Amino acid sequence: MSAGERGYRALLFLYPRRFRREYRDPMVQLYRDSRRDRASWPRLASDVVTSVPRQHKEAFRTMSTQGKLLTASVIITIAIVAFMAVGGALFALALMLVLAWTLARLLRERDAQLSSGFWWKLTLSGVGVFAAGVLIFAGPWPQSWRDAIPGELGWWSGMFIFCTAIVMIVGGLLSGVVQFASRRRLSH
Amino acid sequence: MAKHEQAQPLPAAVFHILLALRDGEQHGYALMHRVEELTDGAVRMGPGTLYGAIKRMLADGLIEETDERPDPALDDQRRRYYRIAAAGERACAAEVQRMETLLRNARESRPNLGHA
Repeated sequence: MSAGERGYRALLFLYPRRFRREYRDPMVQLYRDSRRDRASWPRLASDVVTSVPRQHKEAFRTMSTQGKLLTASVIITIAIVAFMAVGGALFALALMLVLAWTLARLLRERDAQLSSGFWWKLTLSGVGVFAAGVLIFAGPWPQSWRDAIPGELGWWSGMFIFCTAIVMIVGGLLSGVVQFASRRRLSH
Repeated sequence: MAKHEQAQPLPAAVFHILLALRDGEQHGYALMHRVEELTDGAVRMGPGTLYGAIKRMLADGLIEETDERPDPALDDQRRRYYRIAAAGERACAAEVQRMETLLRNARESRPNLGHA
């Protein structure tokens, strides 16, 4: 296998899993045939750049409501954590609003229904997880207990707990926005 | 009724593939070349664009995957062959009709159109 083919196979990991599973072999075959015709790498790269977002959009469109909420929440959380790390909290908030609006529009188009109370239960659970995290990591525990936990383990488990809490809170609030929007639509 | 049997224009990639498949069953590489020929080299689809469009078209019932091989002795088994479905023929004919109407109307309102 050539280095170019290995590189192209690596690029295929950018596509959604289902699409990759179904079309990886014929795509690699097409890559080999194209390379025999001296197809240029910039052309292949531009094909990847244009088709990857399209396939992810398609995969998102066909996801279940819960899957969409979870994906949107994870993306928003990653965006918040990433942008806060470089001091772009306002940008992260704007991104969150745009994603919430897009999600609400997509769900409304598909007439998706969520069980009532789902949003506040999820939000409250997130707040609970967050509070538990604060209690665990900032509680009045003896120094000997703190020293017993390796630093790296403490950091990773803290990140996991706080990220989970943010995903739950954001997911809950987004569900609330969607539910509020669909109720308003029904009452008009 | 397939999704594309409506009065809305077909996406360019879909229309190109349908036109290419009217010549008979073809695999991805042959399709890519046929589209390039049909468009005088203006359109060269990459693997992602081509198989993205194929996935959509299979779901919409415009094309079908076929197990038949024109010449199994010479062909690679990993290649997938596609053929146009009845709904694809109708969608392609409707798109050609739509384009002809558009062009005719445009030329009627501007006789010099395309002869600059």
